[in-house]
Amino acid sequence: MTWIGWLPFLASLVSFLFAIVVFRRYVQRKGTHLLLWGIGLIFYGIGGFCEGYYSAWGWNPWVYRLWYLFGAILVAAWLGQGTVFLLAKTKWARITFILLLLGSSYGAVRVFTAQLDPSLLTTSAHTGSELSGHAIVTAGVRSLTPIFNLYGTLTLVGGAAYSAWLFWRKRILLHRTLGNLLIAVGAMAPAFGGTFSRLGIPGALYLSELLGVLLMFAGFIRATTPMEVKESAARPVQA
Amino acid sequence: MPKTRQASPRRYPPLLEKLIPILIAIIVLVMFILLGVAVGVVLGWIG
Repeated sequence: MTWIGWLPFLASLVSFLFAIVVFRRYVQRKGTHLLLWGIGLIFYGIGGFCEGYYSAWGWNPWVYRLWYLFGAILVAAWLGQGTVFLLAKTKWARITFILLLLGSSYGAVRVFTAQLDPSLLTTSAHTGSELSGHAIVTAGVRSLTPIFNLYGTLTLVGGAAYSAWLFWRKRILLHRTLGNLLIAVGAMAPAFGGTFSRLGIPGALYLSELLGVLLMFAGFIRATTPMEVKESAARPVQA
Repeated sequence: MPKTRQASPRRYPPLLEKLIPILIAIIVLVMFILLGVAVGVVLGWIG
């Protein structure tokens, strides 16, 4: 197994550790957003593990299906749904969550009943050393991915950027501003990795997934760890 | 009569004052590009 094959295992390990940290915070402080982030990170970890499995031991249809469902379809949307619970009104968070549950169930049925052809993995659209959705033959399954990712990008990246802007606008809680910026950048990293992978750069996707989870982890730690900021004050008016 | 003291305006460190809004703008721009690509894929224009 080349060095590329170790990257998704590493990303998976970081994801699971990150999930443990988030779940611990959930146990202490509650908050549905923490629960959903933790679940999303477990999905991230499952996806990474499946990619590593493919690199180490080759094709397995059930590992492939797990990778596609959790890693390609669900992870961004579930992480983003956590942000929806954090920022949106409870009513809308619950409505979108029910829709996400229904959509996820539908996606699971479609993925686990889809026809697969592993020979299609080595198309010109990716390097061949990495998993892609090309092995799915059944029509309509791969079209689920951009829908979920659209929602996940808008909520996770948009939510983090919005949070960062809110704190910056009020010039408060600098640690949360910085943390949210790191989370937003980390959430976008895998998308760029996918693009570079299509350009034939080996390991780009797996490297970006590892970088993404590391940045999000750093962002979460930063956002939940207050820091002292010296405020630069206006000159006092002389008496 | 002594003049009242002005409240201190909140500020981040000077470098971050300039950098943060630029970073937020870049993130939002890139996000919309990614969203556009996803919409393009859903509608069949891309991929």
